[in-house]
Amino acid sequence: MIKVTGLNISLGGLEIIKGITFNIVKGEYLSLIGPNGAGKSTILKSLCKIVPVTSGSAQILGREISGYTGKELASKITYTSQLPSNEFTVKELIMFSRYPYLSAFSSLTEEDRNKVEESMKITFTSEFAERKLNELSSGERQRVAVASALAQETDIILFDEPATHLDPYYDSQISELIYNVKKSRNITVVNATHNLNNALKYSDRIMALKNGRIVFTKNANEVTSEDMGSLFGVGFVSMENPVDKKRVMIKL
Amino acid sequence: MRKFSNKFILLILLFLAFMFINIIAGPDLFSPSGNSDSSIIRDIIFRIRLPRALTAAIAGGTFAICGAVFQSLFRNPIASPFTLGTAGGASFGVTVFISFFSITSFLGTFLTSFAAFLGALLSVAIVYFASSGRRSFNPNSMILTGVVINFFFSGLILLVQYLTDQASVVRITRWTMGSIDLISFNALLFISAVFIAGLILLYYFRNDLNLLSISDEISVSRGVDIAGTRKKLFIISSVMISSVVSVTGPIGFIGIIAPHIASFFFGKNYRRLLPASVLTGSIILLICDAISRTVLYPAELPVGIISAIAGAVFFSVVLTK
Repeated sequence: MIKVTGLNISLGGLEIIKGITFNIVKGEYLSLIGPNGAGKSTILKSLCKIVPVTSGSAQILGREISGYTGKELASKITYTSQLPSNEFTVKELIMFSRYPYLSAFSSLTEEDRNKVEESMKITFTSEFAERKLNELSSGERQRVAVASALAQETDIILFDEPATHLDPYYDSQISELIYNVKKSRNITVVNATHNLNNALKYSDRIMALKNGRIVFTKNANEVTSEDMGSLFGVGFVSMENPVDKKRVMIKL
Repeated sequence: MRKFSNKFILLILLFLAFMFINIIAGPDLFSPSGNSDSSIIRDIIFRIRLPRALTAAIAGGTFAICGAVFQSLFRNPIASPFTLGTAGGASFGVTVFISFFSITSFLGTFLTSFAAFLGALLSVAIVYFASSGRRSFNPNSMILTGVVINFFFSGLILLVQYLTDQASVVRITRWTMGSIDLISFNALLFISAVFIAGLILLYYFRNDLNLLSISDEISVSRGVDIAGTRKKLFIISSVMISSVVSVTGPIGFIGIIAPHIASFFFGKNYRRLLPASVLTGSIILLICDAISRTVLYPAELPVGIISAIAGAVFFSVVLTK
């Protein structure tokens, strides 16, 4: 699905990503963790050509990303972070995700509309479809962001801190939503997050990044409190969640 | 969507109504002192009033749609067709022409327009080359280039005005006020052709304009080739603006307010905002032109003065509501 080899990214003369190599298979859920400024967003953005690659190779579905046109790439992979403020209605915003499938003078087809409706239903955004994004709470906005990613119908979705600034309720709602959609559609998900326990709970593998280099890539159930401790520079203890028997990490 | 099609029908009816009002406005027609000769009336309508109303509609529509495009391109609500220095360039072209060649015949009118067109294209070319390459049509650097160009040309215009004679200064100033003067049939044909081609091309980019107005990140992840699209939109709008400015001079404010009025009724979606802006801009300029022709009769006020004053007043009323 995603194959990155010796990837280097420099922005404004500063080396952000230093020779990274990794592989993500179809249907995998990979969480990207690491301190602020580690380069998590930059990697995700480079895969969608939002940030240019300086050197190295990045392949999506066996093809170098530089070989894709914008629309071709956008039908395979998309990047989702917080939606910036704007005056569009929720439904309009989600419809814009059909861009890769539109030709210049055609309007939305029945199929496009169905995909939009379906994405809104899954994310529980239909109820405020006609409201403007600016009038929504952060939790609602984040669900709209997820809905627009889904409406784009890509094989891969890259989430960049989809649940940041959300209260515990919305935080679990978004994380669960992403997990369920990933399972039901068999898409590939990469999720850059600071919510370590959600990462441990939902992902197949965890890739840790620090100063533009990969520190470790492990199956989620193999990550130890020592791994987290050395990654973030604070102490962690590892415990078993009595409810779902998954491992949780508590910061000391 | 039903509500929008009704609104569009209303807007088109309004447009036709103001076309009609613009054509009959003014004391030359149906005056009590004679003019009952129907062939004279027909001449006035078809040779003077109709071309003038069409010019006003095209100019208003062009400024409005290009304003709407620039507001998306630069993600800036006060971007206008003249943000990128087109007005400065056109005025400079006219200044140089009037100061160095004193041709006042009909040929002079044509050459003045031509000089304005060249000046506008000159500013467009400067912005183009300053923004291409590594900067890949970054909106902020384009706006900065536009501002710099406007200052640069203003300086040059002042310099030439300082060195030239009083009569030329008056003519230059008069031109920069902007007006819908009688234009030749060929000039009308030229701006109509550019206008129609431009409308079709800009409408082609409506989906891109929606995404570009949100953010680069969203645009790219939805598949928009942002540098290429910005470049094309910039070139199309600039040619449209240059063609109109060359015959009317810079008519301020319509390009800023018309898209805002249109989006108030039709929303931000460029699929509707583009046609709505065109009609709104046309209507505004038709009204302003009718006022400029009648308010000080028999003298005529440059329409740029009316549009700027009326636009500012109208806009403050809307803002405070």
